[in-house]
Amino acid sequence: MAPQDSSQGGAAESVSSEKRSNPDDQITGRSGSKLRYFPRDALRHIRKAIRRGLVPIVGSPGAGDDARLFFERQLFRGPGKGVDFNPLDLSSHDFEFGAAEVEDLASSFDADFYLESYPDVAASGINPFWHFIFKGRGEGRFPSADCAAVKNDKTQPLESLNIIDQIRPHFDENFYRAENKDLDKDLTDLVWHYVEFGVAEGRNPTSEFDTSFYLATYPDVAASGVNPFWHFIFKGHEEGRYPTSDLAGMGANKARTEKTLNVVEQIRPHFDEVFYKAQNEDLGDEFDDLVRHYVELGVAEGRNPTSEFDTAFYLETYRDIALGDTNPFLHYLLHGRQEGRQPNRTAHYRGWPFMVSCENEELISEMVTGDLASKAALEKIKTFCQSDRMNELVAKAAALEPDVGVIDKHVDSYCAPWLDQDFFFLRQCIDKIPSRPYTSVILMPAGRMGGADLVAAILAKALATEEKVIILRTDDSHWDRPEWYPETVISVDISDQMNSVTDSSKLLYSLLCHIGARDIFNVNSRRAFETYLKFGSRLTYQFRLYAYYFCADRTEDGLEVGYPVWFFANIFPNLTCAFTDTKNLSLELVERFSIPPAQRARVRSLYTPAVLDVPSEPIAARQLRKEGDRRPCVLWAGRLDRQKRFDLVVEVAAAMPNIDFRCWGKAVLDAPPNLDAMTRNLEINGPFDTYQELPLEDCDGFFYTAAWDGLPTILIELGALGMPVAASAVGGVPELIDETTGWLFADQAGADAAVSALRQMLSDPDERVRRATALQQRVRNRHSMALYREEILAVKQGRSS
Amino acid sequence: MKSAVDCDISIVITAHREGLLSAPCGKSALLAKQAAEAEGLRCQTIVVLDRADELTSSVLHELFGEGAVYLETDEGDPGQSRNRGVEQASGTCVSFLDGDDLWSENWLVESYRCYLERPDVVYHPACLMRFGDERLLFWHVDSECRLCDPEYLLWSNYWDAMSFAEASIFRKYPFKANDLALGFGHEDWHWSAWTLQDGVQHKPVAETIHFKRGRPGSQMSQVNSIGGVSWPVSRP
Repeated sequence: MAPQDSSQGGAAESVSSEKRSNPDDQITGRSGSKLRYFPRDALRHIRKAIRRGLVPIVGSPGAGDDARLFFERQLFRGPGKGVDFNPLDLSSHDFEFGAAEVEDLASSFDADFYLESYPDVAASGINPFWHFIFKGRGEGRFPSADCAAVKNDKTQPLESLNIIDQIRPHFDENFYRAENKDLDKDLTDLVWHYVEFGVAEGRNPTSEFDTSFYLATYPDVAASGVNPFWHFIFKGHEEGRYPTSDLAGMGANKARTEKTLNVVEQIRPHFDEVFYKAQNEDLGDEFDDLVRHYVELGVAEGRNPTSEFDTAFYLETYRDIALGDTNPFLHYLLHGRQEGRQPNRTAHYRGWPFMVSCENEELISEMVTGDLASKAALEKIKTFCQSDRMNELVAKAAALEPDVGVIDKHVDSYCAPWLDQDFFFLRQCIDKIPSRPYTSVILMPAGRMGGADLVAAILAKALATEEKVIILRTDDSHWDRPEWYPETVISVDISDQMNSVTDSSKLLYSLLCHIGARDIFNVNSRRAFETYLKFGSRLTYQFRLYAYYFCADRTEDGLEVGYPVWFFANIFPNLTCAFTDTKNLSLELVERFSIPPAQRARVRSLYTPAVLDVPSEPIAARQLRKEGDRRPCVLWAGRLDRQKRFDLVVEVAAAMPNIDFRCWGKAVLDAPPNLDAMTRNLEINGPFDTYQELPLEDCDGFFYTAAWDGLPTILIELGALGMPVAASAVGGVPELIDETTGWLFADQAGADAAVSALRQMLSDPDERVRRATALQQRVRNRHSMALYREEILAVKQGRSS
Repeated sequence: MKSAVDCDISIVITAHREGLLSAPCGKSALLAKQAAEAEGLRCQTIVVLDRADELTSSVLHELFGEGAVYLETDEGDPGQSRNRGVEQASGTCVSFLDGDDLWSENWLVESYRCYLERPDVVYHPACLMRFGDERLLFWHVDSECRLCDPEYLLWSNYWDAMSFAEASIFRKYPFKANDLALGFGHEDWHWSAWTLQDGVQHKPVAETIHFKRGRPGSQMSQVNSIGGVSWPVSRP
């Protein structure tokens, strides 16, 4: 076992290609309570899909029955697809779709391709087809190899992410911001908003493109579900379509005529001619086409196209529609219904009294199945909600206080917990937590292969000897190295919920309250830091908070950034203890913030234990025995990122042509380095998974370079093995490597200092063994699990180390 | 010290600086009281004036005259005000009304009817109609059916404080004071979680309504503005 990345900065990505297992499978049972709220999630995504103009689909060709059962229950039908639906039937809110569509979509989906291409999906256990429809396509994933092959074909906007990228150069953000002052000021990606919501809301991406006009004028575009602005840029423009009625210039009148005709034809299937004629006897037999009459004259005259749609009410209630020139009935059919707008004054009371009723009815029905008390309670609410008795009581109160008003279409109806979508994310998390109580919670972003991940695993191991520990993965589902963690430690992925909920800090706070563990450790989870910041005093009232800090990152300008900068001073008052992995960082924090002596004990350095066993004989001795005829050789391993100074390695290799430099790693955070200047004595391999993959005995030492760092775990592990090391004197490195345990050089001094250090190391084999042995001894003394465990225990018991 | 008059229901009105808005509140209490008395119930009115301004105090004195017990308190906290009111209550049951809200006139009669059937329960109106800054209906759920998920009390509150219960329940479970500096508010949320955890059930009274006024500067607005959450019911 080995950490892939030698930094503990926490931003390093896994470069492993190994398949991951999902321990949640064992923990929760894949088909158990974990999926309890699956239908609700699906309904939410369906709703979102409709708003995006996507056509929902039924059925699943993939593995697993849950999704299939769900979809079979959901009769799903999208608007404007030529299916015969009655948009005014609010009592059902059901959707249907044809078997042919099911067959088409199912046949184009390749479950094997999908699971193979996206191992995270495979590991999650989620039905792959469901994942593609509601998540994958939004994330730019492909349903089959064929689709992946045409991903660069700009005539095929396969998913919204592509659309966003493609229309971005044509999008006028200033215009959009100025025209839509209702948008949240913190909303940064306006193109995204336009694609996701703006189209459905009739917003315009530039002053020269009228979304509503385009959709109303070109029903084929509206029916296709394609983003109208994308369509105009890549197709409509060439086809001679008009982006606005005004800019059509000479063609404006023609456009208006076309628009009218198109509106008429879109409305026609939903128009009740018998009703219209009966309600409007004044029209006599003068008009052959009553739909056209409604569109051209009837709207202005307040006439209604069906018994269920009240034109005047709709225009009076929704001023945004009245101010535009969209036909109100067509608006309702295309957008209003999905947006929850009411078609008439009384429609509100036809269904369940609950907010977003169409979503909740399914869930409520499922939850109360067989519970007569629930059914009776709901029936009471429904009966009272529609009763004269309720109106009478309200009227009496309004007689005392007119501001009470009446219950009309403006009054929404809520019932906890259904009113609050976000609660269900908490509910899902709670369902994942097995067998309380726990004594400690470890919060980490994900279980990757970086140094910070290894530290979290070591912390879990130290705590688990005497306590019940649970790990929460807050940012993503990675669990790349399950073997790092003790079997008794539970690990739960809550990242999906954290990513979905409106207020992730409140979700995490509530979940921590539910878990009730006395000690909470944050190891590099940004979301945990944010929660500490927002709920710090309230958490401290109940729990003891700890946070781990690793060395800060640097911008290209050399400024420090990262958690020690962003989340130290502001949360320190609520911490029982702040941990660092080097004395250097502790000292920096104490000095930077002038932490008073009485408080300094709350900043503790914990040397990370070596995971590898310390052999009695240093590897340096074995290197000497095996030296033979090979050329002198040093190893280098790390990320090919700016921080790790691979440029220095290249420069040093050029200056030492008689030495072989064998390197492992790849760029993770930055663009790959330019390797044009690489000399023949420098060999670059990919990343490594275990130390056994490195030719540790067939070299003469390890070369470590960095512009800044903490105390990389790779130095600790190689130190445990007794490897001669020449290293940059940065951060906490000198705490381990000094002139008795290795060879240090000043990184800023350029290649000469490094070359000098390497020459010294390579020139004296006996000294290599001597210093490597001393390094081994230092690791044995300072970086042992027993010592680490004792330190943690001392902190928890309030003792000095 | 308790009132000398023993009765069935003590109406506890907590008032602060509601000013003229306390008039419709008091009138709705009087209507509900009249309806209860018409059914033979004996009622007591307690007006808790917690750091109340002169106008609020005058309006309520004008409305209730000699027909109420007046308590002047310096709590600055809605839950503590209710606790003071409960201390003075002589009724078998107690019901709360905030100084700018209204009851439906059948509230006391219907609640008492339910109480006679299940005296160990806290009763809430079937519907809370919020008016003022926003308009919505909030339906209370029965804690003894599956519609109620107790874990929701980690996230938010199910039941409003304007409840009806046997006075002994309110004495056993006094409201905890808010601490807005620490971020703990919504005393009724904590009270709901606390009582439910202890096995006290909460139920709606069919066909009753409370009219809850939303306005800037109210206690609830202040708590919401700081992202306040409930006190934890227990600590590890």
